[in-house]
Amino acid sequence: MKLFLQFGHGMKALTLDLSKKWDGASVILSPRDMTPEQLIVWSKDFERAGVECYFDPQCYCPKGEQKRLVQYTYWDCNLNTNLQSSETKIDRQIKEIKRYNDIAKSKAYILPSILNNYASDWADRFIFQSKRFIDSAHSVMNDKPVYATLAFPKDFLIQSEATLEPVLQEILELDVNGYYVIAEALDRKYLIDNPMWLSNVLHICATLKIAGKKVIYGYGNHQLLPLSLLKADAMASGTWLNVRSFTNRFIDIDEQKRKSTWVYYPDALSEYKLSFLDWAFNNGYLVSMKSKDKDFLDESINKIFKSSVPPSATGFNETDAFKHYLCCLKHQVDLLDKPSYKEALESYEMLLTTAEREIERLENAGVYAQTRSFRNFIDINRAAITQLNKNHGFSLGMSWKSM
Amino acid sequence: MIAELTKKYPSLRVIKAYPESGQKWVYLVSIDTYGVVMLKIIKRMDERIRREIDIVNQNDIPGVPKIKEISSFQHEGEEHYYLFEEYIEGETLTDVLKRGPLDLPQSLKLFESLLIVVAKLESLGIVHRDIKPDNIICAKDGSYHLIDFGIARNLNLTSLTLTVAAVGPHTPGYGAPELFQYNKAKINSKADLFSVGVVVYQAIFGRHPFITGKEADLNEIWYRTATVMPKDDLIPGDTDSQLIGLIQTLMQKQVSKRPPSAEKALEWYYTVLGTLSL
Repeated sequence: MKLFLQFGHGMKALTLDLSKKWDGASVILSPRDMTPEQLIVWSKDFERAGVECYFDPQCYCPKGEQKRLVQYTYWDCNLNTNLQSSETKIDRQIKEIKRYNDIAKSKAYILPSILNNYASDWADRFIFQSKRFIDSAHSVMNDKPVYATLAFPKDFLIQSEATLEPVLQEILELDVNGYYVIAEALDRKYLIDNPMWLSNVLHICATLKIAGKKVIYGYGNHQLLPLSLLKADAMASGTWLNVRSFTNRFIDIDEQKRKSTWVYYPDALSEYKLSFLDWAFNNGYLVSMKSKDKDFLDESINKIFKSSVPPSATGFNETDAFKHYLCCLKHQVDLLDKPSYKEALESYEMLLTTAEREIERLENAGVYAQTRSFRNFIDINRAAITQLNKNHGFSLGMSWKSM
Repeated sequence: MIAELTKKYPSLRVIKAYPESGQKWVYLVSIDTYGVVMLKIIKRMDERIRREIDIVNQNDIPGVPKIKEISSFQHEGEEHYYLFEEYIEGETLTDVLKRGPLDLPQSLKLFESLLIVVAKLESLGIVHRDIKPDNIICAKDGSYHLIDFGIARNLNLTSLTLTVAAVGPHTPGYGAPELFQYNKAKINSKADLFSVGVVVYQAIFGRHPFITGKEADLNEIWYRTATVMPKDDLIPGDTDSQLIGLIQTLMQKQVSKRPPSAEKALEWYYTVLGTLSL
């Protein structure tokens, strides 16, 4: 699995920076975070820097906030995306989306999708809409792979596997090269505390992968690392929480900026506030939070570990925190790239065990990750991978080398 | 009826008459042209029987008895179709299993034979829908043959089952859950893979994986088929649990959890074969 960047507010410089550091990067561009004019200019910058682009038209919430999205020609001025209207309009929208893909020189087309609320007719609407986009795309998008966006509402993702099954069978028949999977977060939470949600996400993605389809998971975070166990082609993640988990409400950037700087400690799969790292520094525990794997020690985090002053006095800022998070996540994704499913599963189980131990050790020392502690999610992830193994373990083991 | 045919084929001799079925009279006969063969006389030709014959006659399916001749004759003013079909000398798997389970090499031979047939059917767009011990002939030479395409479905042709019918044709206990649940209209070769898993499990362990024989009614059989997963029983020689893993994967209740195709299942079978200590 690869780590893609989920473009968000203020991510242009970071994208270029990470591409240089990683010797290339892939980014899923976000029209809600750039004007059409910026798309033209930035795409060229990205191309020069070797950044591979994808363009997510972000038509999930036609009635949602779309300050920037309305500037794009595929978006309708009447506060909707026209996605439920006549075929002609959909064709026109697809053509416009193709035009932006051409500008971005995208590697593949990501088709639009609406995030419909889950109801008794949800599956029929979802499949009907998906097929309309795909039919329309086939007439103009013939020069590169086409990915259908699968935007799953949160209430669908906590249904039984038997309820998911007919939808999955319909999805497998869609005539596309791959899928861009978007899973709405439960209760707008960053980390999900319901094992059904995670298990179903893994079940859906595993089914698609075993069937030989490409899968890119959008709006991911470290809780979705088990996507490596099914060899998802990529998981995209970013800086602010609104690009690390998907909700039907676009979180206001100003609202986020008022919040604290959180520092990811990969061994604990948890993020700690700078103030708590100061506390750890003052009590002599900070040094024990320095990962033994030097690949987790990028220049951003070294500002903290190579300093003799408390972390908050080192100049370590939000941008550093974002960069550190993404570098760690990329390394964790790389570490789970194993020659067999069994080894990948064992590595992930080890990751959880280590995190459990580290969280406890730090808590015993009075260092708490508070709302971003992975403590309550370890069992969620354990349950989900147990079910993944039960559902697809044999097939993943058999398919591993060809996936 | 036979007398009419004897006029046409003077060398025809009836060796055995099988119990009369709903749609056919079936005989074991000898005839100069073909030797010992099965003679099937169709009581009344309809679209389902025509398709059954076409599936076998138009495709070279390994492990499936070949049709040597199809023709018709007039009897009491009515046209009756008949066919001569390759005779496989042996007994049904049902009869064999009455004496006990198969040993591992035989079970593997059965497994491979069924997967080869289902993979071939898959490539032709055909689902057998009735793979069960009664429809498997264990030949004297140790080979296995799948018979009775009576409810097979050609996915390239319109379904003959009423769309409003709640349940598609199948044999309870061997038919996959999707045949009697939500999407009988969307069935494919994975339904046959389910039945292969059940048959092979039964052949290896000498018992059905989820039917006990004490079920009160059809609904209970369906319920157990859709809900009960057999234990991960140990198979001697299957030290890495790969063989039982494959069988369990075939028997998954949901289509999405079974192998993505019969071709892939056959490929996995050969991989598993290499892990066994025989």
